[in-house]
Amino acid sequence: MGTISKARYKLNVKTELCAGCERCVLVCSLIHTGVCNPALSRIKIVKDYFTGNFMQKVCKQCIVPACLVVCPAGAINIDLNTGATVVSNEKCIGCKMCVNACPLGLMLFDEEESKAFKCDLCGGNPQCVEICPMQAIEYAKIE
Amino acid sequence: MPYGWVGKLLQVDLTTERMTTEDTMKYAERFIGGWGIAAKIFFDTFEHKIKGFDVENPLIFMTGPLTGTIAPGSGRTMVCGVSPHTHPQEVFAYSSFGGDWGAYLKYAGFDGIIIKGKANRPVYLYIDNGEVEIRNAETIWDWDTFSTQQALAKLHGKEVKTVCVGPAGVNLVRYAIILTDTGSAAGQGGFGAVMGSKNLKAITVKGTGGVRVADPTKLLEVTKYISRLIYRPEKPDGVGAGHDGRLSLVGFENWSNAYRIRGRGCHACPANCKGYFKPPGLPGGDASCIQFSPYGTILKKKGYMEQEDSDYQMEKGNLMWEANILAQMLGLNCYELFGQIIWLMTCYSLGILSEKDTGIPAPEEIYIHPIRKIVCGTVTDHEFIDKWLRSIAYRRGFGNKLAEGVARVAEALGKDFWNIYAMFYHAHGMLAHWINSVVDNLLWALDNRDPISSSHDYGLFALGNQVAVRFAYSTTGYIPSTEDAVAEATKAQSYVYAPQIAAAVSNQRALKNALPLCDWLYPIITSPYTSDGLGDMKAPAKLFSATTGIDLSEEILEKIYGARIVNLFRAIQVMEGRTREKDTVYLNKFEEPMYDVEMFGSLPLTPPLDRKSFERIKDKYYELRGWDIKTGWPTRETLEKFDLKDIADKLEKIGLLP
Repeated sequence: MGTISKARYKLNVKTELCAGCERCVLVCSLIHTGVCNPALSRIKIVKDYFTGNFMQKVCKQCIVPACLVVCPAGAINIDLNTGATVVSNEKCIGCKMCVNACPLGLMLFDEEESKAFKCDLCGGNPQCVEICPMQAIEYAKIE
Repeated sequence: MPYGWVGKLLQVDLTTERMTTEDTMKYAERFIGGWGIAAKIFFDTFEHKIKGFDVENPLIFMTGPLTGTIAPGSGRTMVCGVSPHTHPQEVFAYSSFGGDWGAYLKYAGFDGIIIKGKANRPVYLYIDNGEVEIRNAETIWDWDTFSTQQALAKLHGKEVKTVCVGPAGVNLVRYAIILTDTGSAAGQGGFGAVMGSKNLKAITVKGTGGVRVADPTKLLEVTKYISRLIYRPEKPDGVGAGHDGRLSLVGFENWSNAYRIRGRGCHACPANCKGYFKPPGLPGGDASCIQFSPYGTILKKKGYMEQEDSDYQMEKGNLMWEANILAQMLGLNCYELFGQIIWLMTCYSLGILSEKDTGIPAPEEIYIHPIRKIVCGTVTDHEFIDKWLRSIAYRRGFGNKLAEGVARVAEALGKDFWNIYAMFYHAHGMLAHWINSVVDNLLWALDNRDPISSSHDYGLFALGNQVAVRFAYSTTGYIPSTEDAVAEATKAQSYVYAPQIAAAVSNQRALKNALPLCDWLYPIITSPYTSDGLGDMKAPAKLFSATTGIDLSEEILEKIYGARIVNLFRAIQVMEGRTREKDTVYLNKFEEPMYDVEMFGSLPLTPPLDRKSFERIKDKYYELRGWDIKTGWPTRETLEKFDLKDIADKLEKIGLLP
């Protein structure tokens, strides 16, 4: 299934470089929804201010994506340019099967629109990578 | 619903437990946000002079249209109200903090919170997306700031953001801070004690909404452009970006490099000037320059900053960290502590105070300034730090006096103590801070508090740099563009264009505090990444227009909106009894050279001000503002010019128009 695209990419986060400014989170929701809202962002940061442990969560673009397999509407496909697993907003029926299937909890759900959403690697030009002032996010080719 | 603003202000009366909301736009159309809206709310509620701990003192938390967006350096929240810290009179002042809290307050649906009254028991506010609850805080009432935030995160979920006060706030220490995370505090002004006086321990917010942006593509484009002007991608360790600060390293390179775990930034920051530090055996936390400076002084011996002795530095660095983290946890303002230790140790060295009087042990070593004979460095130990800071926060023994702030304790002890105080405190009960130019002294004289926290720009980036001065003040129309004028305005001790530059800086500052934007990033006067070395003075307007969809030029935002807020603030000062005579710094600044402790005594002293010239530049400043020269009060004509007829009417009713 993963072999059908020309090349495959994913985002790697160097967690030790993250300064916790949330610019990646903001840019993601801004370009996908026009709103600055961490809840609608495809990349998440969980910060413990006191231990200094920051955890970034972003889709790993699985080789065999459980979300794609489980979708009853055929709304989840592979982007042939990047290998990213992407959700078609038109086809999504809001059943949340994919949300439950994702082992990493990174298939997200917009309750207002009743649609699933996830990281689509911005079609090959991931904005979080560009906006991060710490160069903590890397757009990496999966060999 | 508007773009940028989320549209609602929350009003909480802790006495009656009544909660109401108000339309933000009612205020935003004229005053934008932050300091502007807070000042208008304060002006409207003002009936008579009040003090910081009075029940009717409104405590105002205010964000602006840019908070919560990706606009670089927008992660700021203003805190306003009558300050218990200012001296001799408790007056309306402002403070601010960074971090994430303000953004999440907006995600929860509020642009600001106005807290009135006093709860009849210890409480905290819990805001969950528009739902507000006043909850019991008896169990956590005297907990430190870190434990308080962790307890509230355990209870309400790790995604919540909390501002809170520590033991210093609940014990009404006049310079208690309001803290969020481990290193973002509203320090100067003592608003932590105002929270304490209202029996309010913390405000916890959970926000899953968002901030709408008028033109997302444009905002992203401007954000990337500004980020390129100010951050340094070749230095991915994240410290000291933008302003070449490596600010969190001041004097302790070896120690900092060993224990800095990561760079840290406030919400939406491209610079990330703070660091998270974790030395072994001590709590970890964020720090920037101010958290370290008091202890830089404590630990400083002559030549110490240059010292390469790494073992010594590592040992003393731990001590410095211990003092910083304890102050943050107790909720004490490091900048006031910075002045306090110098004052206290000078009193020790002159033999007018001793351990017998204070219960605080004398330090091992002190370093006395060769000219001024005041202490500018000491080497202390664990016992000193522990006794000193805890006695203040819990108001034990002499700490009970120190908790009133150096101005009040020195005044109470008598003339000798006051004279030592006045050597390095500058005005309004606050420690000197960038006082080496006439412009900065004029700004000090006109304000209600230390003005520099939100106007570092002239002293740091323009002074002494003709290209920068021309760019920031001449091309923007504040001073003439001739060679002579620019050369004059570049000199620290020149009076010629000081009023014009003070007007420019205060307009730009009012706008910066209203949007609000970070003081270390804006205005962007210089940039290491452009061919001419200059930044972009129009950056705030570009962000404002893209975010709100309201197309206003930088000139209008600064000279109409900024100046309007300056006039509103002046009207509040007038109602609080401000007169021309009170627009001054301490009188000794006209008689003897000035001493800026932030420089650790390493720079030449600033020469005294010339009284006549200073009065002359006040005349000129009032004239530029359209204020009456005799009283320093705004005239009706000026207020109406800035669309402030309502302000003029209220002033006239109480007889305060010139």
